[in-house]
Amino acid sequence: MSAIKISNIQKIIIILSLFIIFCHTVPGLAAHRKLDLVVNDQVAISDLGLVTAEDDLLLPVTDLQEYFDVEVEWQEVIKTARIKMDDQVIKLRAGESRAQIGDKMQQLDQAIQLKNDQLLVPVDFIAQVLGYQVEHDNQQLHFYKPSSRVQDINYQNKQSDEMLKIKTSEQPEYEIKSLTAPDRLVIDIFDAQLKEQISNLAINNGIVYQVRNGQFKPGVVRIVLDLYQPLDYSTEVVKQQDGYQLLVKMSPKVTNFAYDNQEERFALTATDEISDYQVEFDSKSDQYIVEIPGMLLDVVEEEFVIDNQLVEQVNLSQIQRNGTSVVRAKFEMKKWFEMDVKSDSKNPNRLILTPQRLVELVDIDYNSSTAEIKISTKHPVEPRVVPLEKGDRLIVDFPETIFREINQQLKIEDDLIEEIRTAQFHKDIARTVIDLEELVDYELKSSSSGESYQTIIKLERPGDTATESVASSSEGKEDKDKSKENKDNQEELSSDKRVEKVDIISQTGETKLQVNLNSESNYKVRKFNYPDRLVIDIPGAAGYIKPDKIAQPQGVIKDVRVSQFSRQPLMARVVFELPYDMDYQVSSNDQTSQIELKLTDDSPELELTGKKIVVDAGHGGADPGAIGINGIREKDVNLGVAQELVALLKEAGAEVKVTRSKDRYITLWSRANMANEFDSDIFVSIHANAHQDDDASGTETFVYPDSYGDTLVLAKTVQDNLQQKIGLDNRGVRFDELYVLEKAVMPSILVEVAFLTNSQGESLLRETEFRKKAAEGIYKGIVAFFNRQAKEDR
Amino acid sequence: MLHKKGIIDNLVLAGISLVVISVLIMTVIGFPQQSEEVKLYFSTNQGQNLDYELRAIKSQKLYRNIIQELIAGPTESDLGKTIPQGAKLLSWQLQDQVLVLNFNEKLRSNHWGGSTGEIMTIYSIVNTMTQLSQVKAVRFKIEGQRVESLIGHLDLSDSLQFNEDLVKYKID
Repeated sequence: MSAIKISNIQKIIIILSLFIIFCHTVPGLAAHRKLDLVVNDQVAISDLGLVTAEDDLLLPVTDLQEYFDVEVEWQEVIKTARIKMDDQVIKLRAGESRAQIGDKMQQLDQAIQLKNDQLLVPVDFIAQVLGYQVEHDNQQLHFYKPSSRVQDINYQNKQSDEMLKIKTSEQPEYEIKSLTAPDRLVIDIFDAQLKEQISNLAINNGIVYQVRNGQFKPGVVRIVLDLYQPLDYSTEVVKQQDGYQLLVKMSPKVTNFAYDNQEERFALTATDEISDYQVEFDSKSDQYIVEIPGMLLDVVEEEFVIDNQLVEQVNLSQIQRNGTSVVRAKFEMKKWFEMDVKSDSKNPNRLILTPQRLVELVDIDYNSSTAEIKISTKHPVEPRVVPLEKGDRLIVDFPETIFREINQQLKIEDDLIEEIRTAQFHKDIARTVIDLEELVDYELKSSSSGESYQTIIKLERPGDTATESVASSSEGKEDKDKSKENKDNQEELSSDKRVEKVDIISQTGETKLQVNLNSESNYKVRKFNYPDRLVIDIPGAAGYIKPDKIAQPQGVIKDVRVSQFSRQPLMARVVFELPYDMDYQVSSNDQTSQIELKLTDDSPELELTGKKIVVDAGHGGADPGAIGINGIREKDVNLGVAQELVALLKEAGAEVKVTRSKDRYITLWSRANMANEFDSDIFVSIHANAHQDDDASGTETFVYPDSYGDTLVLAKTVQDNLQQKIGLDNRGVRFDELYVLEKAVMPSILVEVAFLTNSQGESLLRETEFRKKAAEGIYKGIVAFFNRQAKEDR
Repeated sequence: MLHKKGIIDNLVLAGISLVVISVLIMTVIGFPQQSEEVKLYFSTNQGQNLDYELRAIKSQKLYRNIIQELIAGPTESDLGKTIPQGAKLLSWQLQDQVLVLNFNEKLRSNHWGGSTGEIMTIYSIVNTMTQLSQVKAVRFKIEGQRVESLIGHLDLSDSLQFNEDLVKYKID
């Protein structure tokens, strides 16, 4: 040790400090004690002069040389003891509450004291540096060495079998504590000592971010796992050739959560078999909760917003319950569903969760006398009914419904129905097809009885008097024959009860319908779809009425008709055509001479806000489309109608995209692709038709083969509204493999407004007024479609 | 060796002469004209349906003959033509029961247009061809090129099969 030159200023500082130390130490409430130092049960130093300060014992550091292999060098000038042991140098300076070990500083519980030329150092610190544990009683101070060494710590960071391995020389005694804020796992190995410095381990695997270690206190090696979240683990001690291994095994983790768009299902993947799980439905929060106990969560994202029609979003979390970790997945419902949870048959580490709305269709029954088809399901279901003129059929689609029998056929062959077929049309749509003798009106009702729900389709027999009728069905057949005889017996009818006046009082948001009779009568009000209309039947009344007594269509009412619906029994019918399925209330008494109805227009017609619509004007550029008999080009007609339609849709608040706004060529693929990329709600392609013969005429709307549900409803409402508006022949909804309809993924239709290859059609399509009218018809159909959809969603 | 080769040469020569002579004789007498009865589908009911008339078609180059007959048009008054003037079948091939028909550009450029028009043209050909037991489906090419569509409506990117809907609902 070379001498240190000390400047005057330093001298003053040293003197000052010594003075302070002196003042501090001398009056210290130090008590002297003499104890034997016992090392590993053998007396090493007798009558060691110790000093107690507060709760700590201090011992004279120079005396240690008597027994221990240490070298203490006292440097008087700086009042510092320099202790050499093994490879370490420890510096202790009188008056300081810290020690320097190598080049690191360590805080001490008590200040180092200088007393009677003895440097007194806290016993705990000395024991620590010497690698002993300390205990003392009144006679003895015990120093003893831990019997075990912690030789190595490593982390096996594998997807499965993730564990911490602690290698010890002796069988380890240990304690593991889970601490929170921040989350960490503390492993104390008692009666042990780190063999050598073991570096901390950076893990960063989503569960553990690092593993630290240290000699917590003499005889206790502490290993700390800093965690991202509470950990679930199990331990095991393995005997090895050269010692022991303490294994802290991490519980299996859920490492992946994914939604499969195609299959419309979720999958949870873990590092081990998922055999234990619970599925629970929380009706308060409308959530399905799936819990997997004994698992950790190692999925970065916690919240999943999913494009699924049943699930709004999914939240993943790891919770602690009864000391174990539980992975919890919460599925927030959009609509009611049942969660089908099962293990992947190919991979037991994977759990497959499929939200299903599978309603079971259990029975189909037909009552010929009431003309009611009753279809029973196990849950409430909203069927869609689409009448098809082609083939005189009613198609009844039950969404999210399974029909276990797969196929069933009911041969009926009465005056209304030929046959009723039910089949699993699609993986989750059951379809009932009612083959009719001829297309008739129908009423859709639903009811429930005990465990099942019924959808009732009541077909309307021509001359049916519904519930008011007292005549049985057998009498009804006779009546039919009689009615032929009575056909032109007008005078007799007009002498009876009759409809005198029909009024429409239209106000904002409300329309009042009023039917005046010449005498009090009962009546029945019903609502029909396709087209949407309200029907008032007045039994025993004549339908003869002067046209000027019927109000002109106004407000939401598109048309009013009064007719003699049947003669035997006598019944008058008043029909109000509605723009879409509207709610109504009857405000008059059951028996009245003035029938009053209120229509509440809660879904105003100008409401397409938020709806995304792609309007495709067919052909363009190098592709002129069809050429009219007098030379007009289809591409120009299509663009004209499309532009009118776009204006109407935009006015109603829809978000509209056009595939072309001018005369340019676009491939069919890009047209459909634009709609797909826009994530449009519907795709409407506008065309004008052509045929080799000039005899072809009329309006038709195409859908892709096997379309169902929304697509079919859209096609139907647009075709009906357009055809009614422009009044050309109704060629109906047709199913063909049209390119754009196949490629566009949303409900998609292609409208052929009229034929350019007949002179009437061409001259009409030439007129701007007609194009406007056609656009209005299509627009009304689109509005009706969205209104119906909104209603069904409610 | 040389001697032997001479004999083989003579034999080959004799064989060829025999074939040539028989072909000459056959030409003079005429080949037995094989033909089969085929349903030719044409447009009906304002282009909403297809209906057929029966016609005997020569079996040799059957597909080309059928197309020619379709181009020639129907004889019955309630049926309508489906293929535009100038259209010609350039080549055809049958692969795995898919008949690939390669037409000239006129099938497209001379077409009158319309979804109805296109459906009638394509399906009169498809339905006529797929009635043959060896043809399951038909694919179209124009001047050797595969096409999205003929005139902008029907998807022709894949092969098409017999369309029952077009013939099923007859409105009489």
